[in-house]
Amino acid sequence: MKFLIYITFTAAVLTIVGCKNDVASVLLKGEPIDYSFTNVDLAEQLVDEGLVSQFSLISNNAGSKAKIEALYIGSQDQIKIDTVILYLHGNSPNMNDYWQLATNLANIGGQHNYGVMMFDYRGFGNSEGTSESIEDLIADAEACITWLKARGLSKERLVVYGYSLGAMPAAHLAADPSVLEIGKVVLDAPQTTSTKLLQDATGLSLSGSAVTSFEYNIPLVIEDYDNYLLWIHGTDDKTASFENFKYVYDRYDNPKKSSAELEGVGHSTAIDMGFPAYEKLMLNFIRQ
Amino acid sequence: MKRKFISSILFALLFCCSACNTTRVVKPLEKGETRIAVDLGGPVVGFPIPMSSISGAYGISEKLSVFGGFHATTLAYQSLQFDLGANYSFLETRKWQPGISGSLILNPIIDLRVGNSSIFPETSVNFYWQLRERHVPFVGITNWYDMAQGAVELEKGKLMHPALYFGYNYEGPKWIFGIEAKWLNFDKTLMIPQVEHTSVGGKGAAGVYFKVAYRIFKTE
Repeated sequence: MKFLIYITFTAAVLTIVGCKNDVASVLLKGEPIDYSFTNVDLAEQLVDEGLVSQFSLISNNAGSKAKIEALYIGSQDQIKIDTVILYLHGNSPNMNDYWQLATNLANIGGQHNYGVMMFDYRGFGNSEGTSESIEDLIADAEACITWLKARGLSKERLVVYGYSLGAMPAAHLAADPSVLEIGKVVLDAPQTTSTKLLQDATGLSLSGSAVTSFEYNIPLVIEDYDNYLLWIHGTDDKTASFENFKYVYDRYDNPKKSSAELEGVGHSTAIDMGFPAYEKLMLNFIRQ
Repeated sequence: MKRKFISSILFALLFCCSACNTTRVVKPLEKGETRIAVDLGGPVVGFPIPMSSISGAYGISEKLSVFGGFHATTLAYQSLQFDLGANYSFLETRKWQPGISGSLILNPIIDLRVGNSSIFPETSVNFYWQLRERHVPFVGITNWYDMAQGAVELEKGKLMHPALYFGYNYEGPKWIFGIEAKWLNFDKTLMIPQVEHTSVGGKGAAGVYFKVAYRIFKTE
């Protein structure tokens, strides 16, 4: 009996101690890393390493400030005339995992044809702080847009590209921009809502708030976005449901929408479809 | 590895919302018997995740028992989940003939963040044997009913959320030790980002659960 009381007591203590846990606080967390952005780390689409710069920015979410790490691929002098792609990465721990994807974007249409900016959300990589809400992710992206705007970027040359996790802040940012209006947004392998994530796991009509205060709702916010939108998704995606976003896309009333629905492709869309097809897709979208 | 483990915890947590414990009462308690139990276990993601719940049961008569449980791990994530139910014996086991019992259960889940609440009725049927007095193997099927299925986003939800299970209880004079395997939501394909869970034919999720219970008998 003492054994049972001990177990019960331990469980109760653990529960009380952990009572402020949130799924977001454990899942939206990267790992510190020695950043490495060189051609040695690339399988294809090499870059001029002299045009790769890594630096820090201060992100401010309603007074909650964090120093975040960012990367720019391309000549910063060209920001005032180039098209720039702001890449919001997925839920891997840091930017190193997306280096190849970023250089692919930089070399669409020729080497360094586009400027590409990428960053680690707060709590990811060597960025300070913690990501606890969609507003944190949005603030970090806005810090990058502010940095780009200060170097001459105008709204017609900005493309915001959100991959997986990054599609959440990308969609929210596109619908309600505060620094620059966004004329083109790419949602690559997106989730739909925080509630749907929980419902797909349980099949039950539970609200996402049952496990997290991290709320996002892409179907809702993109109703307020009427510029160009490209949705990329593999039909065999086991991480973000193709069927869920297909449902959203089909009901999204925007004549400037387009999609690449990739048969047999999983969550790594850009890699799995191969660079030539990806390049063609992105060029068609950016040049329209 | 750490990240995968954390994702696995999330996975188990999500599943903890549905039938994530051993069957509270398989064979009816003796009249006047009180039982306190701790459950550990969860869906298998290479290993069974140790989710926990604490429960109690009481034998009102030889055929009717009542029980209730509380899910500690869910509370750790700011959702209060418990279960309240009654188990009735329809047929007693004799030699190789299985005993049959059924339970009616209510599973309330209260989200402590914003106050949302849900309640899921559940029914289950158990088939059990009692071998050499102390050995109780069993099989069964349980089903959660989602009465608010329309609240499932993007598509219509489903009313029925079944699970199959089989297990074994060692029922000593004071202590009960149990192990149970469950096939949760076996009629659905479930999706959790970044976690590969054990399913059968791509459907549902498999879980393994353990129970330790202590029996207290009313002295006449």
